[in-house]
Amino acid sequence: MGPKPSKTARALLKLFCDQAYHEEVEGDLDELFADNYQRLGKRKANWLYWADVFKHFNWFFFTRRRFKLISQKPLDMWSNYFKVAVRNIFKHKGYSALNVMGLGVGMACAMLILLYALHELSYDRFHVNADRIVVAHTKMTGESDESSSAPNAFVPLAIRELPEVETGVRIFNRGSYFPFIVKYKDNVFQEDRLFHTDSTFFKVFSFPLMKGNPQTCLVNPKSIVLTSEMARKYFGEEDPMGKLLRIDNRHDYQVTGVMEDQPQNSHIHFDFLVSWTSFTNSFNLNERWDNASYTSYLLLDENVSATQVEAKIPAIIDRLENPRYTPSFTLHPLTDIHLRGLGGSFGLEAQNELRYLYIFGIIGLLILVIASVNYTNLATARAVHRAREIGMRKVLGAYRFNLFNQFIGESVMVVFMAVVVAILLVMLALPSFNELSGRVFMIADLFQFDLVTSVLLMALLVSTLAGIYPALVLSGFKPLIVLKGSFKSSKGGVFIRRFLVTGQFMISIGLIIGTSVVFNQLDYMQQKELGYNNDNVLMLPLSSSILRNYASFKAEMLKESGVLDLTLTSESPTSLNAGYSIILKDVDVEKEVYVNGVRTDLDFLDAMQIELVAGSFFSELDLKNISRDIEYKDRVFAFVLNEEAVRRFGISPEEAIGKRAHMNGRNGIVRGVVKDFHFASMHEKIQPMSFLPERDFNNVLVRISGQNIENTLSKVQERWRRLAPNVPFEYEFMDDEYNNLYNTEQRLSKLFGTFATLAIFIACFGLFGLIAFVTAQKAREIGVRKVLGASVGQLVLLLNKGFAGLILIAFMLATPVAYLLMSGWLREFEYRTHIGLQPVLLSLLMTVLIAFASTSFQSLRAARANPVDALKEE
Amino acid sequence: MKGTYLGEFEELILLTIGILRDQAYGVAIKRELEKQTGRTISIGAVHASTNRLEEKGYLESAFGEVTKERGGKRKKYYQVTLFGQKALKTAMDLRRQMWSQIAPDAFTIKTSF
Repeated sequence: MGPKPSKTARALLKLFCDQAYHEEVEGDLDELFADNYQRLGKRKANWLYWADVFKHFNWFFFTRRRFKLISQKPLDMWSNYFKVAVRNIFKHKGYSALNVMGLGVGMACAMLILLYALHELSYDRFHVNADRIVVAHTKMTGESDESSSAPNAFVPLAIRELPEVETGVRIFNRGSYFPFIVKYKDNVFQEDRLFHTDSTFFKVFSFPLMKGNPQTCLVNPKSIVLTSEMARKYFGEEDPMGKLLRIDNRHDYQVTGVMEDQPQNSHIHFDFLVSWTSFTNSFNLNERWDNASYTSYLLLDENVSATQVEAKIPAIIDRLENPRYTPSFTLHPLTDIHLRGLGGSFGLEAQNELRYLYIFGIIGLLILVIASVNYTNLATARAVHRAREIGMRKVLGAYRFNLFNQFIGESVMVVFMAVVVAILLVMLALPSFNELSGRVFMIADLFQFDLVTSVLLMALLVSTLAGIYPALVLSGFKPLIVLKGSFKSSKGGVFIRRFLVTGQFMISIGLIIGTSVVFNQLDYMQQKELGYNNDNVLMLPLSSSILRNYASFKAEMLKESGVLDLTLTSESPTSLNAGYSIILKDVDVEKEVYVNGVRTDLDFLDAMQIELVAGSFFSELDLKNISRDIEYKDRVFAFVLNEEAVRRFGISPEEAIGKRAHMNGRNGIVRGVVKDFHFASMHEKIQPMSFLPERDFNNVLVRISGQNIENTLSKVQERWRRLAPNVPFEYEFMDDEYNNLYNTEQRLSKLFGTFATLAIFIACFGLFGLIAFVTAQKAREIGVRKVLGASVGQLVLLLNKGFAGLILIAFMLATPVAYLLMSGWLREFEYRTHIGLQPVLLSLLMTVLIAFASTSFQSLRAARANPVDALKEE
Repeated sequence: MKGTYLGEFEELILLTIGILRDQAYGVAIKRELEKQTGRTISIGAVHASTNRLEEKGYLESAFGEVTKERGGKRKKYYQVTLFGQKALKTAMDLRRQMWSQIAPDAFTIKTSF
């Protein structure tokens, strides 16, 4: 061949020229080029060629393309692909069902996780000013912990002194440790979701108000705003506006507004809002710096960052004439509160952790991978069935590219069928998922824009991931080989298939190990000796009326045979968080130890079965020493510390007895030392704590006998009604409250368990399909072996052997990884279990059992079949 | 009938194809036309015309044999259909008829010397 014209120009021509004209045009142009080349030289010829290509453009491009002389729609080929795909799906119903179900279950998991993640990420975004609201955290002194609230002087000061701060709002939630009693006519209930808040509340937050004026409803003293749910609870059909609610049997509050119930994705949930001006005691009303109990939000001006404002705070604190307390503050975005665990310690909503969101995301991804691998494996293993079709298509002129498109298209089809299955499954599973996740999702939530787009993207991703390898393999078949008729199986895919199955089992084994470790730790935390007995202990609210006649109340209650013990306390032993600091003057005047304080009755130790190590507990004498007749500074307080507190001072429990002590203005002596007991979750090391003899209690603890609890409860309630008619009988079991500390872990273990089960289930789907295929392939071999005398057992072993090896490899690879990851997780707990052999062996046993169950069904059938059926076809 | 209208270039193409008889393919048409008219003709224009004329039914085409020249691409040979011949004839008749009505002295060139 002679010289060739420019390749680019040629390609351009091919691209734009209609097929029907291409041959004629290119031929003519080539001829001219060859001619020009000889006459004018290469450059000129090429130039002319280019010019001619361009001169053809208007004609092909604008006029001709619309008319087709030869009618061949590009969709013709696709409609044929579609037809063939549908026929294939229905021809092999079993395999198609395995594929669609496996992918469907996998995608359903992924969809649920997505739904959950999107919900968690949407927290607090519904506020119009969400981006401009920050919450203040406080460090009272350099070494104390950062608390997610601030002193009540902070917000007013920030509004006054910082021009960047538009406004701010404080929330005080007393109800979390001292519930309110709310009454309207005959409706009396105990309420703990009652917040005191500034009149700016509705300026900062966008909670919609159904009745009342958002600007003024929280201005006047004794104003109360309630949610529509509470309005129904107390007022029924009546209009609550302007009505009076009696709180704690003392004060009347006027209803000035009714608001909609807060959306689920809010970090605060409350039933009542009470105006700040309703406070009667100076403790809350006066601006003070020594008590950081107020959750404080600031609304910043637009285009001002939290860090800019934060940097200006130390200056305004320094200007204060307040030498005793110089707290430092940090500001955090509102939208971070939910996922970064900010702003929780004062009773505002349990938080999620971003980390757990990532873990769920990864689990979802792993399940999708397992499901995709199933598709890949089944599709490549069964490529033989398509070999003739591929050969034929190639002979008839299909390029590899066309075939690749065809098979990718098929995987898209299967995946979209799976999406439909997944949506149905999600709808069915939604109620149980709600229980599992502790959220309330509805079917309508499934059709939000974000979710729909993500699911579509996910479907495309999965179909590409799952389909790309089979498409490459299938489209690469050589027509000559596959059409000769001797083509039985493709050797090339075997290794990849084994590799992928091993991967699937690695994931499954890892998830099983993870699950059992989480379960073990949970069990450990709930079974470990706490140092006190929380079995069958009821926690009930206390009112001054009960306290006044407590002696007779107690005697009356103890008459009930089911009631074993009765005692009083300021806080539940599972949540001591009142901070004090103690100095032992005889030991070290300088050394100050932070302790959690709790005020209890004299019989508390016996009732709770806490062990005393040294000294004694409080006596009547200790009460006399602090009686109200004595002046405060002359009172002598007795303190009972735990071992940890004494250890901080570097002395033994015996040495500590009788030492003079000072605690937040109280002078006294150490009366006794108790054995350490767990008053917080096992995440934390046991902290120093101290008992105080002051008679200022919030709770009655009643221990009842473990037999016939229902009956005892109703009897106790009867007596309670008679003795304290104004105090609602609303109890909580102390061990329930303790277990609630591990809500996150409980949820995690359930989710882990569920998803691990599903992962194994899906992996077995794939295994089932693979073994079915292998047995079909080996039918003749099995027949021959059987005829020559092999037993059924030998044959089953032969077929299962290959998979057993893979499981073993997967086990050896997955165990160390899971072990490392899970011991990392365990390290978060101050008190933890060992991983040990049990989870590892359990995972191996479970995987082997499940895998053998799913393979043996098929292999047994093949091994027991009559060899004649397999051999007669030859 | 509107369909029988022929543009000047189209008429020339048809005539050229008539001259070339069974050798009328793109490049040959272009060369012959250039030779006859002395103008430079773009191959694109030839293709545009032949294909449009074929669509209108004045031309029919057939691919020739595969040869080694032109990189194995076949030539597309054109032939004037009966309909095309009729159209050419109509055009010619029209002209002849109109020429015949022009007075012999109407176009005489007046020289001034």
